[in-house]
Amino acid sequence: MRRLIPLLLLALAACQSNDPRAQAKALIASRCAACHVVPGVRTAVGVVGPSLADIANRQVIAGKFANNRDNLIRWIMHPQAMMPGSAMPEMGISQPQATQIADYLRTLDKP
Amino acid sequence: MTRPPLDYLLGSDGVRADATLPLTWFTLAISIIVCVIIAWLLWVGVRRARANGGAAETVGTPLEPEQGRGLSWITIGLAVSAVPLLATLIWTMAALGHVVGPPRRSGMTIDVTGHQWWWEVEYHGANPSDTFATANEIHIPIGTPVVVRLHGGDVIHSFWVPALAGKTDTIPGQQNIAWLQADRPGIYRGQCTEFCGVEHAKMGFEVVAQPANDFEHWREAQLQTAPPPATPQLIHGMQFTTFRCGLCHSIRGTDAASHYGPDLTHLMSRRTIAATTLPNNPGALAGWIQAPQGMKPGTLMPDQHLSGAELNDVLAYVETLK
Repeated sequence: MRRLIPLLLLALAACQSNDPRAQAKALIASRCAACHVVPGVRTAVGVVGPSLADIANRQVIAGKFANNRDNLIRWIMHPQAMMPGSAMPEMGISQPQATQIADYLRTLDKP
Repeated sequence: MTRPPLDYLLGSDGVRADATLPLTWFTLAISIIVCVIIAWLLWVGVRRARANGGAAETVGTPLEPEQGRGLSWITIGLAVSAVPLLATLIWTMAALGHVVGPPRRSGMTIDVTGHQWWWEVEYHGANPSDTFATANEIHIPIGTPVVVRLHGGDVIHSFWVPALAGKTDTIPGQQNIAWLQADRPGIYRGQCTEFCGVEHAKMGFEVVAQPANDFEHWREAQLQTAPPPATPQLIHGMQFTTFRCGLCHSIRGTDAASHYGPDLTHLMSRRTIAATTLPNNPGALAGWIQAPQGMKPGTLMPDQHLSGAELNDVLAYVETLK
């Protein structure tokens, strides 16, 4: 029984992490939460960058680029390449990870 | 590496917890059994009283010795209660004997100071030059008893690593002694368990138990000073960091030499920042440097109000502190 309980919990955690939304939320909690408010991620209460509530409805990201999926993915991966000197750092996020995060953010359409 | 909550009740990983965990389960089981029996007896009593006509029946007459069996139940009850009580007492004494004092031949002694809201850790060696400080991440070699001298930096905190050992308070003006011995390599979460102010809940730490060789490598790496900056961006980053952060933090090998906040010389070797509040990655680190009050309101580190370029330079330099 002692071994079974952690195993069950692990199995439960594994089930959750197959869900792309759950994976995106975990990534956001780890990489984005310190700077941004992100609805749906409890720990994302940062006050450095803009709140990402309603980002699906915004027209422009970083005050410069059209808010479409490709630009958002690229921005998450390489903000310094797109806008050198931006306070948003290069975070070493891979393309699949950035895609997951962007797809989650693009569902945030409520203020 | 996140572990399920309360997992330390399922298994122990250190000598002291090995002694207390079975006792915890035993007393828990005894308590539950006793509660169930008492509740059942009470329920039976209530049912009987009701069947016999309710409240009037409970207006009893005092038991007299010549009435026989009634009084003897008190003696039987006392005798039955004495058995688990005595067993618990003996077991508790035996467990205390295992956990109370540090073993005479301890392998290592470290100093841990509780601060609002982080843990300062100081290691010593044969020579004064072997002394170094780190924060919120305590490395220990496995199989070695490690004596932890606990100091209070400001208010009372309490040092607890559930999978390894019980709690010991850190009290200003007094040195308390705890000790840890891990049997298996692993990362064990610790937590302040004496309410110490607004960010008490975010005053965690980690104990990294590793084989003696790995520990020695870690120790040698920690003794190194920070590498000199190699590029113009890093030079600016270092100047800015020592100027802005050096009044509270120390980076050995630079002008930053204050001990008010955690030592940052090997910040990037740590798994978490801000006393396990955030994972240590560039995104979280940038957010923490710029606006600690956003993530940990009330923390003694102020918001920095850096421009984007300044933040980038600071971050680039801090990332070289491996």
